[in-house]
Amino acid sequence: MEKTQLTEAQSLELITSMINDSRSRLARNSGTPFLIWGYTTVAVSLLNAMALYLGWSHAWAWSWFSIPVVGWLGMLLFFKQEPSARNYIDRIVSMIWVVIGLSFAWLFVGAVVFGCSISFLTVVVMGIGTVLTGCVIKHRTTAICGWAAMCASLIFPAVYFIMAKSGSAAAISEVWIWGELIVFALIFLLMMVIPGHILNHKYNK
Amino acid sequence: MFKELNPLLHSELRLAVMSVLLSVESADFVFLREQTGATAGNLSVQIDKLQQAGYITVEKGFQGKKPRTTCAITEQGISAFEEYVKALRSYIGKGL
Repeated sequence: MEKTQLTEAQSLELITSMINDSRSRLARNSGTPFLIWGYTTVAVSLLNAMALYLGWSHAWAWSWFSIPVVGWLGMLLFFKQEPSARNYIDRIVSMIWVVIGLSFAWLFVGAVVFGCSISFLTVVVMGIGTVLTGCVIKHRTTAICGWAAMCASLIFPAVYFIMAKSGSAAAISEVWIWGELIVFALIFLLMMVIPGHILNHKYNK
Repeated sequence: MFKELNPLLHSELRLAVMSVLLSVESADFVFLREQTGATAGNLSVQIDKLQQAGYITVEKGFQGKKPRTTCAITEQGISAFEEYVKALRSYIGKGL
């Protein structure tokens, strides 16, 4: 940048372009965390659905615990360097996901101790995180995908309600035991993978 | 009557640095150099001037084994910037 005498209009133009460029640069790869967590969850869900469908050992259920391991490893590898700049939005979004992550301890207790549907609770909580992130970064598609996932989460209690009321509970249960995981994977595809790709496509040009 | 433009901010590189810092919480030297396209020497001089005026804070530390200089805008810097933009607007508004 050369030392030049700026006119008033040039000064305002410079301020605007610097602020916009910095914001765009900080938004680069903002979809990557969605992709890391989204693809990991989709893959593990489909693996477990397949294990249940094909009647593999129940030991495959332990693979659910690989989600946080793979997710955090992916985040550490991808974002191993401290960012060269941080803005307030980054901090708010990080805090939202830290709270969401910690809330999984309660979800786990709810599911194991009280028998709540972990699929339903997980999608609702992750949906809230996605909607909040979309609102904070002012990205409508992300917020809409989060809302859509939260609406879709009602599929889980609805199926259990239908099973409780209908006479063919056993038949539904036979399909739902692996079908639930397919639905879960599809919701994660909608909630995290699609917004992740859209965000990266928008900001990584 | 036109307000006088702050001479410390009415310089291309210093204004660019202040604009970048206004849109972030903090930024390191490399980020500022890449965003402004300035040379390291020139940027270093201008950062010193802004720091001496109390417009920015400069922290020197390490990231691993590499030295890292992090800059952030101060309250005083924000006020000066706001005054500067107000003065610019008065010039442009009266020029129309």
